[in-house]
Amino acid sequence: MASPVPLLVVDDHPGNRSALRAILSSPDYRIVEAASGAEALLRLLQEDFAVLLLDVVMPDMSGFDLAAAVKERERTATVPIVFLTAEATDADLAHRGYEVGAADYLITPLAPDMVRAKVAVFAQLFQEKQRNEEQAALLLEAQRNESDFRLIDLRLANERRYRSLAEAIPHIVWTARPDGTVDYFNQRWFEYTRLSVEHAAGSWLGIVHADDSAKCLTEWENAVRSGEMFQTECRLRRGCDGVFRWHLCRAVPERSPTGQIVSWVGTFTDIEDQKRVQAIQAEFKRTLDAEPDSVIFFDPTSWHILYVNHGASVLLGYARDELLRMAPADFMVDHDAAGLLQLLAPLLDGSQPHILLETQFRRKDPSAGPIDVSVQFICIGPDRIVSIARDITERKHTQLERELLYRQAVDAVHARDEFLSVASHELRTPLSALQLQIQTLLQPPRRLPQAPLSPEQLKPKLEMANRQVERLTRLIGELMDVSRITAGRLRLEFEEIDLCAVVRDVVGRLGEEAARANSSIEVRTTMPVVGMWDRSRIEQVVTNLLSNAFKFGGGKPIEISVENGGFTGRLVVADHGIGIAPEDVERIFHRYEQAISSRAFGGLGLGLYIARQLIEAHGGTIRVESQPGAGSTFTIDLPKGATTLNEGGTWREEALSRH
Amino acid sequence: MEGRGLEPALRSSAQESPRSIAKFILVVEDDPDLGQLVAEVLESAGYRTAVAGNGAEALDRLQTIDHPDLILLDMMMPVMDGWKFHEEQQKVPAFASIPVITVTADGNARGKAASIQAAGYVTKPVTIDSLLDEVERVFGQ
Repeated sequence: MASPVPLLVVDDHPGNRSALRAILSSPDYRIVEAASGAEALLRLLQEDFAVLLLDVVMPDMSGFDLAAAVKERERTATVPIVFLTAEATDADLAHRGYEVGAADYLITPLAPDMVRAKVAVFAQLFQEKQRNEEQAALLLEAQRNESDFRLIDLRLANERRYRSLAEAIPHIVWTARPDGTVDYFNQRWFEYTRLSVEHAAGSWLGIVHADDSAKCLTEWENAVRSGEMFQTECRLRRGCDGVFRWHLCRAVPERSPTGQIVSWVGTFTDIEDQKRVQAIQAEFKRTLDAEPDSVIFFDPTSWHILYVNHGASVLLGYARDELLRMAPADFMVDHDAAGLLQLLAPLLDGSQPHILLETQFRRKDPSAGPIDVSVQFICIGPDRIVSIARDITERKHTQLERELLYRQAVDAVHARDEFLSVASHELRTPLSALQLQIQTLLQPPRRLPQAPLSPEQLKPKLEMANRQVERLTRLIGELMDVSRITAGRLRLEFEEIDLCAVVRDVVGRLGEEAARANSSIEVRTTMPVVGMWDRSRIEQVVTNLLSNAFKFGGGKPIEISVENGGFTGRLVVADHGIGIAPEDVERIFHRYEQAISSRAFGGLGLGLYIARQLIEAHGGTIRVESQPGAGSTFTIDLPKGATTLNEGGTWREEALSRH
Repeated sequence: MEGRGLEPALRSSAQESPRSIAKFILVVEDDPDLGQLVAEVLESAGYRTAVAGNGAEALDRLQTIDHPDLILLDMMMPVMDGWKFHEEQQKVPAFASIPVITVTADGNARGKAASIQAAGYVTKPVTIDSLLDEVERVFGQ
């Protein structure tokens, strides 16, 4: 009984090795495994193998490099190599395989029958070779012993076995004499070509496609002359229908124990279907690579990535062969392998045809940040998932921008509505008082007999009416100012004024209002601080700041001071009231804004806005420092020259919008 | 006086009430001039009044004065506005059932009144007729 035939499986994925082990499990074979190119070389130097099953993609050494190394070494040069590749789809790749001396290749996922058939052929050839070698040894011995009979018997037996093997395999097999003249074709040749022995006339070149024959002839003649292996791809004419089909043509010399070429053994393998599949797959790949979306095929049990298109490489920033060594969860932000498996469960149990998900992918360059993607997972087989991912960063961004704009618009509308509501209330309250007062004077209220009013009784009523008219006038003035500011038609009239005097005037005028707010005002002025300013507007600013302090000062003392700053005059108004939250500090100078609801404090919410616009129109600045609960301090710096204004003293909105 | 003649029943009910049982109205208004004027008009029509300057003050006053028959409530006020006042009023069972007439300025006066289930509403600018008509309507209910 022959000993098991040794096979060498070289693959860095343990999963792939165990798959092959399962497929080839048989007492006829002894499978030796190597996980790397280096290990494979070591094994090959230790013993002879019937065939080397070699993964094309390995981390330390590509399959091609290993094959080249194997072919270079005399000891290992004759080991047939079969490539295992998921990338067999590339015609280039196949070519490279043959260039480095591949006998054949197998496409993963492996078709067990195909694997077993191919390996069986090589195993049989190996056994034959071993027998030949044994017999050659015997022959040598026999020559020495001159016991010819046994030898001839052995040779004939060998020949018979050889022929029957040749007839059994599904390839065309032929042998030729050392000069290249064919002296044997197997049955498969006759079936394929439908040519008689006479027709073949010692050569197979007659059935080669006209376009391939020159190249074929040259290479075959070179091989015969040099004694090197012959290998080419060409189209051979099929006899039954005249169709030319692609074949892989190989021939190796058989040498006598003394090294003399005694014959050539050739095989033609039909690779037409394989070529066609390759062409379709290449087309498919080109299409996928033209696709901007990321397309990734992976196996949900082993998590091996089996295919990535160009788009995936661009999206994730990894080279394609890097991605082929990764698992999908490696670049998914929100899912680890367990999470992904849970997500894909409905696909795998068939309850859903596809799954759509918006998530994020991690890029190779972490500084680039994650990408927002919309991913579709489709199950195309029990161990095949396709994921198609589209970059939606842009879309998300636009969406966020749109939401922001929408919120701003809603806020603006709300602020305007709120303002209209407040303005309506503020204007109609004094109007109510006026109207009621006038009505009571004109037409006595219903029930009480109307005694004529004495001048003393009349006076407070008229004073009240006057107050309400003044209030209305001020409100309308504020509205007009806002309108002027918005339209860029604020006009300033400059004259030399003393800021201290203005402050004292205003404080004197606001005595009644201060009393109503229960606030005392402490004025700190020293020497006159004189500048070119618009008196009425500066008065307005001081009035607005003090009104603001009355309103929000909580009845506590208010300090107002003027300081001389050389080229500027400084005005400071400090209260000890409710203060302003830090997030509201900027907002209070905007139109229609109060840091807290207008309802609660009354007023149009325009005072500080107008103050800021007036100060800035003077080329000055206004700022506020505040602590919630401790009060607010407003500081105004006014340049004395007021030189920032354009001719005619008309302030324009463009000038301000640069702030 | 002309228009009033058409509503003798309403007028006489208040007119013929003895002073001691005249209806008592709490006026809540932040503008002191307007609050005082409204109170004067109501008193001249035979009601008793008290005035508060905002919601918080009104809550304080409710503790010390007679139980009012009606609250005339300005909605937009400093310190405590009408909505907040109404919320607080509802928390005290003794005050919760006092009918409220809202006083508001803008177009949606009816909506604002409805937002606190007010018994009635007056729109600013307030006139003598609009004020007394609404008060009498609410008391007549």
